[in-house]
Amino acid sequence: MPDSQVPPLWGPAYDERDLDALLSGETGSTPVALQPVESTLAALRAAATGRELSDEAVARAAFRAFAPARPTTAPLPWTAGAEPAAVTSDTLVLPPADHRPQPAARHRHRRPAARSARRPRIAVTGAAAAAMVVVAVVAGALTGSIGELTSFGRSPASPSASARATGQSPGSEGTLVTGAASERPQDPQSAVSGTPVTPRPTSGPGSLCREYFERPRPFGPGDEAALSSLQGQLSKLAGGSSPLKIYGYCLHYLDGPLDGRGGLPSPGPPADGSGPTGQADTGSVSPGAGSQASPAGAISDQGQSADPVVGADRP
Amino acid sequence: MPTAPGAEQLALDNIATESAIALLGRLPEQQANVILLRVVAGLDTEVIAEMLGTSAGAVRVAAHRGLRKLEAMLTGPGITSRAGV
Repeated sequence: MPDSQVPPLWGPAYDERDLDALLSGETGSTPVALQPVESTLAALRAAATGRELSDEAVARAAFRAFAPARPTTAPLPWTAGAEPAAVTSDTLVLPPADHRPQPAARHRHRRPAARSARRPRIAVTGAAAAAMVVVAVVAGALTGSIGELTSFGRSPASPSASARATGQSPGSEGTLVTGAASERPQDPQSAVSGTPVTPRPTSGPGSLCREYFERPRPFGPGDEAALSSLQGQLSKLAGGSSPLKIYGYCLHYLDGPLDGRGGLPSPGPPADGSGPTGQADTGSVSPGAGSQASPAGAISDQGQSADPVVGADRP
Repeated sequence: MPTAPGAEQLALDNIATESAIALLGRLPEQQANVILLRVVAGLDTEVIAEMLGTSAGAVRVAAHRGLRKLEAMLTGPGITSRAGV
């Protein structure tokens, strides 16, 4: 064996300090024998390479297919220094991690925009609310006016109400005039001039009762015959010719008792027109059995206008 | 602005992480775990010892033995890196 041959170096050309330096990531003084190991450990520490991210690239390409193309006229904030020609409309530019805008900054930019966008909505909402209030006020005022206008054509619910409208007491006779008095479906000639009137065609007991009790006073010469005819019919229906029987029978067909709304015709109607109260009749006050004299117009108003049920015959 | 990668960085990039992990997979399990936790996770020896339930000295010995075997595998015949290092 020649002595010229140099014996091989036994043992590693590095020590444990070099291994510790490799594990700690210190580079620069790595022995040559450990450089492949250093490269392997660097590969372990390194980020993912493009080949490893091939699946992510496929997913990004699929996202680009759905995402709208970003215009390239204005450079993106994180690509301001980059070449604009490198960014095409089909390229989805992702900002680098260190230049990515902070979420707080984005929120700071969004808040004023949201406020400014909310202002027109608030203004429109306020205007709509104000319009609704105005409409409600006007509608309320008109409703009151319309109510007054519509109630003008109706008779009040009670003679006292009618009297309040005209400024008179319910007991005052003959001068009570309401707007409903003109609506009373009666023959004005018979009421004014007392000319004989032919009885209205009777369609039932209710009509007979109303015809009998609501006939305007004083009776004319022809009313006697009509009343006797009505009394005869009602006597047959009531089962007796007594005025009380007729009254009791007609109570079912009239709107309540006849107190204060006229009453039974007196057996002997006074020809001079004077009522039991001793006051002069003016042509509209019943001198009958009613405890309180009231204008006949009030009867008609209550019985025909205010209560539509009365117009129909009741069983 | 990120600078252009140098030749060393390109060489490191050529060594895929998969190849490095494959090499580590050929090591004993204890040594591979210690190297991974030390290099990738960046944990200290004491922390790794506590995690694995051993002593810090054993962790250090296991890491050194694993690096030596890794070096032997890389410098041995038939095993080269992709960059030819």
